[in-house]
Formats: sequence, C-alpha cells, structure tokens
Amino acid sequence: MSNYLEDLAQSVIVGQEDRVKQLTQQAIDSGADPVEIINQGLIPGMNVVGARFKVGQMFVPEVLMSARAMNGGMELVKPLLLDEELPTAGKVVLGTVKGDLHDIGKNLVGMMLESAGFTVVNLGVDAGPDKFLQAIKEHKPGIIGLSALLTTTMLSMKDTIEVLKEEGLRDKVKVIIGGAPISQDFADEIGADGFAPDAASATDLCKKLLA
Amino acid sequence: MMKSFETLTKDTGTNKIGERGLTMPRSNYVANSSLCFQLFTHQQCAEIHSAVLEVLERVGVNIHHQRALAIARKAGAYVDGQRVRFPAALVEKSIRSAPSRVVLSDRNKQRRIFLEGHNFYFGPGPTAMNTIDPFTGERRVPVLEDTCRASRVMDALPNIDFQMDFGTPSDVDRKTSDVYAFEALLNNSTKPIVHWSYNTRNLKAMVEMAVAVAGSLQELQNNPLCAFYCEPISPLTHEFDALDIAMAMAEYNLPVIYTPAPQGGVTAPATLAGNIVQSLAESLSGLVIHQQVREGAPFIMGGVITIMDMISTQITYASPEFNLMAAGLIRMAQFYEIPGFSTAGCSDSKSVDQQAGIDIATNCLMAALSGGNLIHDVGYMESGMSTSLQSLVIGDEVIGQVKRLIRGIEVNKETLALDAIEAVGPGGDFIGEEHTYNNFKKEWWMPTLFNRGRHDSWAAQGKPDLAELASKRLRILLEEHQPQALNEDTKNRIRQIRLAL
Ligand code: B12
Repeated sequence: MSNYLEDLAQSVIVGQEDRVKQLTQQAIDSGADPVEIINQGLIPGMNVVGARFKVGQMFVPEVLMSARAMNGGMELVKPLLLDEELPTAGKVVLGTVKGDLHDIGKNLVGMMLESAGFTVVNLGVDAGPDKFLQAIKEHKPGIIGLSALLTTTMLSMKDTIEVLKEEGLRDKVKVIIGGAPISQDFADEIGADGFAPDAASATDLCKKLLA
Repeated sequence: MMKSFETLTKDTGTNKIGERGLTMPRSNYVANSSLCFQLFTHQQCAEIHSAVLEVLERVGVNIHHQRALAIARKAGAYVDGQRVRFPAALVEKSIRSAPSRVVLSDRNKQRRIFLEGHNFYFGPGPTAMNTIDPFTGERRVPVLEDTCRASRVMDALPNIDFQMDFGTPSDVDRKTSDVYAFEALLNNSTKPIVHWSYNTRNLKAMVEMAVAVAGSLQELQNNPLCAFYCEPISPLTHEFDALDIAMAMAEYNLPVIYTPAPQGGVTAPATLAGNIVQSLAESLSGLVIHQQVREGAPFIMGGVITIMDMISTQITYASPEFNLMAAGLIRMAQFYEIPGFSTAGCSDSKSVDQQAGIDIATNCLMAALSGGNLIHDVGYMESGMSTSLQSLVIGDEVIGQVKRLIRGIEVNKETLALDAIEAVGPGGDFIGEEHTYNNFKKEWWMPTLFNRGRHDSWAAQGKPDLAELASKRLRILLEEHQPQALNEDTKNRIRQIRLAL
C-alpha cells in the first residue's frame, strides 16, 4: 500500500493528472482511507513541488500542472469525505482595483493560492470597494487581496479599506495588497494587513495570516 | 494602393549595385553597403502572415467598444457580440491602405525621423514607476522635475532621436500626469515626442498643445512633432480606452502606435513564432478599425513581445527570446511595409552594472540590425520598473558604436588604399600620411564615454567605472547644454490648455 502513496506523490510532482486520477481511483476501489490518500499521497507530493519551486528547481507552469494533477485526485476523493475532513487552506477573494486593467499578476497569485489549497474567488479587473464589499458578504472569505499596477489606481486601495471600516467588516477579514507599485510601507500607511511582492510569497502570507 | 506586400521578395535595400568600380568595368557587381541580418525568409514571413489571418478568421478578437463594433460590422467583419472575426481580404486591404512611411518632425518643423524601410532611430522609455537618481543612486518615484531634466538630457544626447517621458510624474494631478509630462517634453527639448494617454479626453488636450506649437492641425499633420502609443490587451482583446485613442488619432490623421505587450507562456504562447503571430493579430485587428475610421491614416505597428521569467514571475526586457521576437516583429512590419515600433537599450538589471551593459549592448545591436524603425526604452531598468539617466547616457554611447557597426566596411578605391600602401611601403608608418589624415575620422567611431586609455591615467582619475563616467558626462551635459526655449506665447498657451482640463 505505501508504494501507491509514493507513486501518487511522484505523479503529482511530475504533473501527470491522468496517472494521479488512475492511482487515486485504484486506491479508492481497493478500500484505502480517503484521508490517507490526501494527507500521505497528494499533499506530500504538492509539498515537494512547493519546496522545489522556492529554490528555483521548478517553474510556475510546472507548479500549476502539479496542482492540476493533485486537484484531479482531490475531486475523486472529496465525495467520500465528511465536511470537516475537507482540506481547505482558506478562502481568498481577489480583484484588481478600480480603473486598473492589469490582471496577469493577480491571476497568477490566484493560481498559486489554489495550488496551495486555498479556495479563490476572482473578481476580475476594475473592482471598486462595492464589488469587494458584496463579495465579502456573499463568500465570507478570510482574506481579500487587492492588486494594482498603476500609481494612479493604487490610491483607491485605501478607499476599499475605509468602506470596510464604515460597514463594520474590517475585523472580519484580512486585507492584503500587491502589484508592482506597492510596497510594505504603502501597506502600513493605508492600514492593510499584509503585502507580498510576488505570487509565491503571497501564498506564504495568506498561510501566515490564517494560521 | 501602392503596396503589394505579398510580392515583397527582395531584401529591402541592404544590397545594392556597386557604384564605383575599382579600376575596370565590371558586370553584376553586388555590394553590402551595411551589415545584413534577416530573421525570417520571405517564405517564413508568408507563413506567419497566413497564421495571423487564420487566427483573425478562426478565433477573432474581443472588442469592448460599441462604435468600433459597428464599424467592424459595416466593414464586413463577422461580429458576434463582442467577438469579431475578420475575413482575410479586409485585413489585407487595411495593410495596403496604411502608409508605408511616417515622418516625425521636431518642434521647429524640421523633418527628422523617417520611419520606413530599414531606417532606425533610438529613444528612451515612458511611464516607469521609479527612476534611479544618477547622482545619489536612490530609486524613487519620479516627480515633474525629473521629466524636465530627462527631457533636457534627451535633447543633448546626439544618438537619442526622440523623447519619451522617462517616468510618470507623481507630484501632479495623477489623472492628468500624461498631460503634464507632455507639456514638460514640449518645453524642454525640440526633439520629436513619442507619448501616451490615459484616455481620449487627455489625448485631445495634448493634440491641442501640439497644434498650438505647430500653428494649425494641418501643419501638425504635415509635420507631426509627436506620435501617441496605445496598447491592446493580450490575448486578443481591445479595451475601450486604447482603441478609442487609436480611433481618435485616425480622425486627427496623426500617427498612432498600436502596441500589444504579450507575455509568452502567460498571455501568449510560449513558442516565439506563436507569440509573434498573436501580437500581429492584435495589432492588425486594431489596424482594421483604425483604417476604417480614416483610410490612409498613419499607423505604426508596435509590440513589446516578451516572456515571463517562470521563477520570479517578472517579465524580461533583455532575454535572447525578447531580442529575437523584437527582430521578428520588425521583420514582419517590413514585410507589410508598415513602420515598426521596437524596443532596445533596456535591461533587467536592478542597477547600472555589468548585466545592464551586456543587455544594452546586445539588444541595441539586435534592434539596429533588424532595422526596426522607432526603437524605444533606452534607459529602462529592472524590466521596465524604473529608468536610469546613467543608463540612458551609456545607451547613447552604445548606439553610437552600433551605428558604426551597421555602416559596415566600405570597399572602394579610396578605402582599399593601394596608393597609400605603396607610398608607405615595407617598414614605413601611416601615422603621418595624408591618407590617414583624410580617412581616420571618416571611418572610425570615436568614443565619448568608453575608456580606452592607459591604466595610469585611469588610476589617476580614481579608477571610475562606466556608471561613474556616465554620471560625470551627465553633470557636464546638464550644466552646459541649453535647449532651445519654447517661445513664451506658445508656452503660455499650452499651459492654459492644461489648466483648462
Ligand atoms: C503587461 C502590462 C500591461 C498590459 C496589461 C495586460 C493585463 N491583462 O494585465 C496592458 C498592455 C493592457 C497595459 C496597459 C497599460 N499600462 Co501597463 N504594464 C504591463 C507590464 C509591462 C507588465 C505587468 C505584468 O503583467 N507583469 C507580470 C506580472 C506577473 O507581475 P505583477 O503584475 O507585478 O504581479 C506580481 C506581483 O506584483 C504580485 N501581485 C500582483 N497583484 C497582487 C495582489 C496581491 C494581493 C498580492 C499579495 C500580490 C500581488 O504577484 C504577482 C505575481 O508574482 C508593466 C511593467 C512591469 N514590468 O510591471 C506595465 C505597467 C504596469 N503599465 C503601465 C502603464 C502606464 C500602462 C497604461 C496606462 C499604458 C497606456 N498608455 O496604455 C495602460 C493602463 C491600462 C489600465 N487602465 O490599466 C506602467 C505603470 C506606470 C505607473 N506609474 O503607474 C508600467 C509600469 C509600464 C512601465 N514600464 O512604465 N499594461
């Protein structure tokens, strides 16, 4: 049995979705514990991917392919789990702020968060305070992430934080910000809970904030 | 309908029949009068073009602009909601109707920049969020005085042919920082301006300023002192503002640069050819709308085509792939006989160091070799995140060297120097010869920055590195160079236009 777990982890690492699904299905059919499949097969595989990415031995497209492979297995196991056993790192709402159309970085942050097990709600571009407010009410995320790539639009991040305060929601949700013109200083200045310079560190930041 | 780009089979202009024989008449003499480099053959261009037409007909683009959608439908495009697919004939008609040359003039209506064939001109980069101060080394957010200073430096540097704003000024009203920057460029240098705009409203104010300088719209059209660039969104999307600006420029009959920024592996295919195909599909679909607004309006085909570094997720402005795709884009622009907008003189390095030098030297030479007409972003650092005046000065030096390289080696009676070789004979020397006196300055490039001196004198100067030499030159330029001032009357008028906004 332990052999299949190693094989499963290995297939996640090399990003073979078909193989992961096949192994997962075989394990399920032969009566393996679904929690074991996840915690000793799929997730350890993804952990190796994360570690290798950090030291520059794996690249973004490979990480995403591994995440897709892992999720292929997850989808098969999920129906067998009790709600409280469902692995989720937390929920994050992401959006590019009002007047800004740059979404590549924000989308990458989303993909990397998903790879790390977060549930991501992507609001797209041109998202003003109202859109974030509505999404918080609807999705109840642990974190909202605002992205801005223009020095003109970064100023509107503060507006969103102000609106959250007015609505009494500021303590209910962590606010993180990012994008090329953003710095830790700016995050401190507008009272955000965190800043990350790239997608990999955004994932670490979210883990830290929800820990 | 002068162009027949499909039948463009010859090398454009790099080969020519030798004019001067050696001593005797010769037949079929072909000479390279400058360096030759051609990324794609004619067949490869045709293959890429065919792929572009297929993308436009099969996949199409999304257009977020009601009037443009109506225009597309009327022109015979297949419109389905916001998705627009184009028949090949419509695309090719637009390629033919766009002029094969665009000329930019300086503030005094002197025609300076001839965007056609393999001509190349270098200039700086726009809108960066940071600038690295050349004297303190501090990386900071630019202010309007930085734009003014950069403009004066551009005015002074001999190999910088046009101006861009070199960073978005932060100490002015942020919604009109484009207009403030344009005013600063008009005030501080006479060189032609390549600029941008947040939206059509700001664009109109800037065109009004240019009209005030030129005297009338007609005079500005005749001798345009500026071109404006705008950017579709990869993959295959035309957002409202960018397309609206392109359409407004067509209405003005003033040159627009339509320039996508696809990132291989992220917003475009990872393969270089596929990335070029997508970029062309983006700019040519923009061209179709543009030419429908006004047939024959001047259009410059751009594209900052790059890849993303798959570890840092930072885009690159200096990788071999970046240089190759820039050359590929320009080759296609030549194939279409549409002036091209290219990128070089920039670096991914965070400081003006060895990497920056290697980046700049490589991409300036590549861009010049490909003959890509309007080459921007000299002085860009860290993937377009900041600008550096030190780097601009070094870029100027590199461009000087590159221009010499491109000139190649002239072969004729005078340069073969048989008489001089005979006159000196075995064992003599050339340094006092008239042939040397007559030719060395003509044939050789003289550095103004690079240090070819001896160790002793270098040590005596405090062993400066290239960045320090650049700062030193910069100080002298800033102290000594006096740009021609704009007359007070016009200066006031353009200020009024900005104030009225
Ligand atoms: C691609 C691009 C575009 C594309 C955007 C396409 C798209 N779908 O996003 C197009 C061509 C449309 C575009 C348009 C414009 N652009 Co632009 N663009 C860029 C460019 C070249 C790259 C941005 C990018 O995608 N980088 C790659 C991604 C992966 O990196 P990233 O965005 O930084 O994201 C990472 C981190 O920042 C972080 N992150 C990002 N978001 C978040 C959010 C959170 C919560 C966290 C924690 C982290 C995080 O993680 C990400 C992944 O690692 C930059 C220059 C640059 N080097 O950044 C200019 C740049 C941002 N653009 C600029 C400008 C000026 C414009 C225009 C105004 C130009 C014009 N005249 O048309 C328009 C504005 C349009 C608008 N209203 O938004 C300027 C901004 C200058 C300024 N002072 O504000 C820049 C810096 C260009 C320059 N060199 O000057 N642009």
